[in-house]
Amino acid sequence: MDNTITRVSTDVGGTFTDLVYFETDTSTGVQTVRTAKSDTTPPNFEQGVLNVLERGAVDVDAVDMFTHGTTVVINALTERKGAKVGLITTKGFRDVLEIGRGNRPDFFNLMYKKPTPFVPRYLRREIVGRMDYQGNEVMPLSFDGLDETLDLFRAEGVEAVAICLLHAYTNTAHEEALAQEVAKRWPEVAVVASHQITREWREYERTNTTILSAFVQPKAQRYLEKLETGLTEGGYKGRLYIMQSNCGVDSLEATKAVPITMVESGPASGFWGAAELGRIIGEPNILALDIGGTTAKCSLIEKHQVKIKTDYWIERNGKSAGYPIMVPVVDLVEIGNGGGSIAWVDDFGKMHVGPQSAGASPGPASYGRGGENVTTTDANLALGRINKDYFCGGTVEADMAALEKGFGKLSDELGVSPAEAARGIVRIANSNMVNALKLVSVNRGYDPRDFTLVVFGGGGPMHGVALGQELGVKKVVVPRGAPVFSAWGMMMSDLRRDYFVTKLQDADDHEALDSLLHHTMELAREELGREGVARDAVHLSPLIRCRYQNQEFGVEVPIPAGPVTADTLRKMVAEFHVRYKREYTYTLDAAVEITGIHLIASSEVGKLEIVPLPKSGAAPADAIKGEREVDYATEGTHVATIYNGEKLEPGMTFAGPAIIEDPGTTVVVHPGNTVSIDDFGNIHIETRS
Amino acid sequence: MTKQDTFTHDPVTFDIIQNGVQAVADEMFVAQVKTSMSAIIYEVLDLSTSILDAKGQIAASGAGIPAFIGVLDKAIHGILQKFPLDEIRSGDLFATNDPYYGGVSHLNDMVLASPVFSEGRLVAWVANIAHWNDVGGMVPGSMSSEATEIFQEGVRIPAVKLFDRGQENKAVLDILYVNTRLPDYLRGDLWAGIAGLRIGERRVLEIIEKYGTDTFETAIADFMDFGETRARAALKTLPEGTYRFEEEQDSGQVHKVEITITKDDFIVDLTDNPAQAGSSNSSREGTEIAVQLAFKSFTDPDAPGNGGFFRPLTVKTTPGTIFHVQEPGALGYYSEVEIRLFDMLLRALAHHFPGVVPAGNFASICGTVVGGPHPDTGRHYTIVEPQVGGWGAWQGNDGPSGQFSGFHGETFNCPAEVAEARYGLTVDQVALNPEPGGEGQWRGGKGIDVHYRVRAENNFLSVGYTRSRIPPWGVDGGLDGSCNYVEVLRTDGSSERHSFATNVEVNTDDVIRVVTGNGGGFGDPAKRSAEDLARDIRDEYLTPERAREIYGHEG
Repeated sequence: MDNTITRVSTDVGGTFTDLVYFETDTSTGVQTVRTAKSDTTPPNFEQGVLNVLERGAVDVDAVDMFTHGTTVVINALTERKGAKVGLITTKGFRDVLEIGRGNRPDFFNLMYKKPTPFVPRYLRREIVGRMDYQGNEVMPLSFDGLDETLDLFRAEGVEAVAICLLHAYTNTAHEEALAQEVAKRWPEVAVVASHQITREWREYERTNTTILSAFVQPKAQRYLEKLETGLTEGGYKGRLYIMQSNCGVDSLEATKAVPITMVESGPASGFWGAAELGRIIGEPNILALDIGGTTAKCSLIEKHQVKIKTDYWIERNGKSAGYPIMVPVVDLVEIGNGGGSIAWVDDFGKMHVGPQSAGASPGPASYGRGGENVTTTDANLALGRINKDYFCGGTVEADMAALEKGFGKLSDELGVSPAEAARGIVRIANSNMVNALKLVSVNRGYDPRDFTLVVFGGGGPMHGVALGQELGVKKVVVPRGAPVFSAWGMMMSDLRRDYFVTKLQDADDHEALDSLLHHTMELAREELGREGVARDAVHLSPLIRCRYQNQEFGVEVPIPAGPVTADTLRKMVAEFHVRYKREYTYTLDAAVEITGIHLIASSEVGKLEIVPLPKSGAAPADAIKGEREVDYATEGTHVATIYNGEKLEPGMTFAGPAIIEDPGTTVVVHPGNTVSIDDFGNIHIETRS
Repeated sequence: MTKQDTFTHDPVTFDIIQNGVQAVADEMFVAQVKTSMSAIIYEVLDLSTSILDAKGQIAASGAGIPAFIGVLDKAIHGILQKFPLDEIRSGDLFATNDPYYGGVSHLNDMVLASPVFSEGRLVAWVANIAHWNDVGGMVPGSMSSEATEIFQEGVRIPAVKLFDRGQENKAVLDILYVNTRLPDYLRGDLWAGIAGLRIGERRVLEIIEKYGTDTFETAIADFMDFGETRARAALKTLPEGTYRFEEEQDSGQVHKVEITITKDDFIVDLTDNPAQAGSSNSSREGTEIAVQLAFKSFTDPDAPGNGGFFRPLTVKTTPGTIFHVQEPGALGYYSEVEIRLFDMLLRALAHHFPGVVPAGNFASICGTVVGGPHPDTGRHYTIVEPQVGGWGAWQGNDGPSGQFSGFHGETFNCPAEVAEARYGLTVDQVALNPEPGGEGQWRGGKGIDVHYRVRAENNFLSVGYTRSRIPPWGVDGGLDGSCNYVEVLRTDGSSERHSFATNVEVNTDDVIRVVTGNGGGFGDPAKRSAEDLARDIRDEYLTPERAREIYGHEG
């Protein structure tokens, strides 16, 4: 028996598959970290994972814990490459999917095209039977016509059946009976019913969620099975955990049953990483920003807590209403601005950056792979922020001729110098990202000055300081391993499930709430028990969702994970008024109603404990590579000191203007900033003078 | 050279200031939605926020519905008409809901506005408008189809100062608080609006502090010019000429418009229209808003909807008509007047410029009010909601189904599961409208056929639907769509049909059937492809019989 614990996480992104390998020697406490990247390999994504394991020289049979995140679900959805789905729903409601919510975000466009339903009308079939909103059966379920429906589905090549019945969130009996009956009459087909995914009301959202889950299910299942087989063949004996959108991990089996919960697993792990980093460095309030190749994503963490919501939509923007997916997803805002975002000039001479991206191929002009358009990365290179002699960590020779040509074209169109065009790109990209960060902070009533900005992904450290200064945050932190931070976050995740259950009740009925909470907690213990978690190891945090009677917006109020008495309910209601006022600035002298609960059930599964890094006693000067002129866009050109990021160690401090070069990213430190390296190798940048 | 001097008047700085001002309008919008107490504000999003320049031209708006985008400049003009500049000072906060004093729409919509001062001079305005539930008047909710004078529609606030140099004008607030059936709501909505303005003023001053007053003003002026440039560029692509159109209404009256397009102007002449009557009238400013909406949709939907964009637009009206109501005319149902105008303008353009706009859509707010005791809780409930309907087809595309009218944007319908719990009605079905209509080479989108079954005695129903007799129009050989109406199916087997009605009694097991129109078709039905027809029949958008009759399709 060796004395090491080895954890591996892999994160399949749109462009690259990342690996983080963490080995802890339990006798000495020494931790060894390795990271690796390889190309993502669609459509056989599991191959990319096996490749990166090989590249990272990972001895699979010695690994104790393996966590995995993937974009396979979101890719299947955006590329519309999934199963053919048939829907069975309550009589009178097959058109809910097509009507949707009726909204039209593109106000002035008379030729607005509504998102096309994933299931055409003839494959949306109805069945007799009805529950009311209190969960009482008002008309029994009838299987009349079911054979005809299934015959049609078979004849049309349906591969997965989605079932969504009215009020199934509160009484699942009809859905369960129907799902069993479908499975009995057609054992080969994949079947998923809405209550298996969500227990919340709103039939359009629930129906769409069920259909999208069915749509990705066969493909995701095959993918996860192949991954498991690949690892098992490599000798892996431990448990495989899959990253979820709620910032937790879950078992392979549970994920295979409802794969739609993986939809935002990549960003979720990064934001969880930021929350965990906050615990380690003592920062409870964090604005987390992840800048990748194509997009930037941000989220707000308050008092160490990530915000998990179920009003998540794909493809929703100013031009489209998008599609709802009612599963627990970390609250995030995503914009089409990343390192590869293309700068372009519109018919009226205005410059824009993104959302079109040069992607990995041809990539930015300076990659020299035939890209003719300049991107944010090219602008950073042109301004001397990125080192042309250490491009992509020295793995790519910057094609300065292509860069010059690209900027020549852009500056001609704009009528400004190439340097001004490059500064313009950086300033516009920063402005876009500041507005995204405001959406998760000021637009939700938070003051950025109370927050620490944590930036990661390949592009985060390049823009972080400028954004932090604009927002006036406390400070900017670039975590160690920023380019592969999402994979790191996965290692810190707990086994976690979020149970959102709608049940409308008055806030003076403690027995009703007690019964709801008790049943949901038992369900959570039982389900986590199936994942091998002992009863007393399940950590339960119930939140009660309440509002003033008949209102729409409400707040979540915590309550102890035990029996609900009249007294606990009174305290909960008192706390509701306090929280409501904080959120909405007023309280009402009106009755309070409960719309349901949000129960967080979690359990630690071999979470990584980070230990301080050793110090060699080297001085900051030992990490200096040289100096060069850097254009800071809004702050003029300065001679910056260049540091080798790999030689920085705890306790070092220095001042800007400076550039920290790491194989995976570049940290831009502005004039007047103060940098310090903490015990764990994270870079803290003080931006306030 | 200081840091910012490098970039004082460069295009990127202007872009960033312009985006920053938009972000302020959005933040004001979110802040007000969150803190408002009335569902019509936080759910229907019947509100708007704006940042305006010193003269009251809109620089940026935050809105949930397009019909509320170009509203607040008219309100500021109303204030500027009443108050000389030396009486407008830092710390002032104005209120108006009276369309005869800058209030624009109807008395329910309260405008709040504050001037923003920098370096001792007026540099901008921040303003918002929101629908308040009840401002007094002859009926709960203040809007009545029976009103004939504005005095019957609630308390009139004719552009007055709620705050004078930061000092609260308690007298006006007290008058407001007593002139409502819902004082808590009014108070909550008022202070939500005030809080929104304060955030807006602070944020605008932050931008000014960063870039300087001069740069800020220049950037806003540049933005207005940019809007104008976009509008003029679009105008250049249109053939000059004068285009007339007239249209019969459900009432039998005829509305008339004459549009004149020159190289530099877009003139909409509405001078020859029916005399004002009842409460279905619009203020002149409200009429301008409907025209602006059509102008923008027609010319450049993606351009910023700022003051500059509308410079080429001229609207002519005759005082005393439904499009230019005179004091003391009532305006409660102004919105159906405005949407009829918006729809007629689109139809006129479709007639003269085939293909530029889709065929007609159901084009009514379809305001539906149902109320009464909740059968399970006994509490009184009221539904106040617009409906979704079918939109028209256009070249190459079938029309969208089940979508709110052109006056709405980010408005969401109420899910059946929520409606059953909240209102105690049973929703028997949520289906697309199966009636014929809207056939064409490309077919119109479908309206809805939704059934609410009443579960208690003594409920009431009020509706305001237009396009209830004359259906949405087809284009280029496409067939007309179908009509909007409400049908009450009684337990004795009888039924009655409504379009405008107040307080119709409905009782246990009566079914309220909400039917909205199918949109108009585009192009000759004979040209619809066999493949599309086969799909329509397969998906039951079309019966085989109708396919044979209209399309000559033998599937």
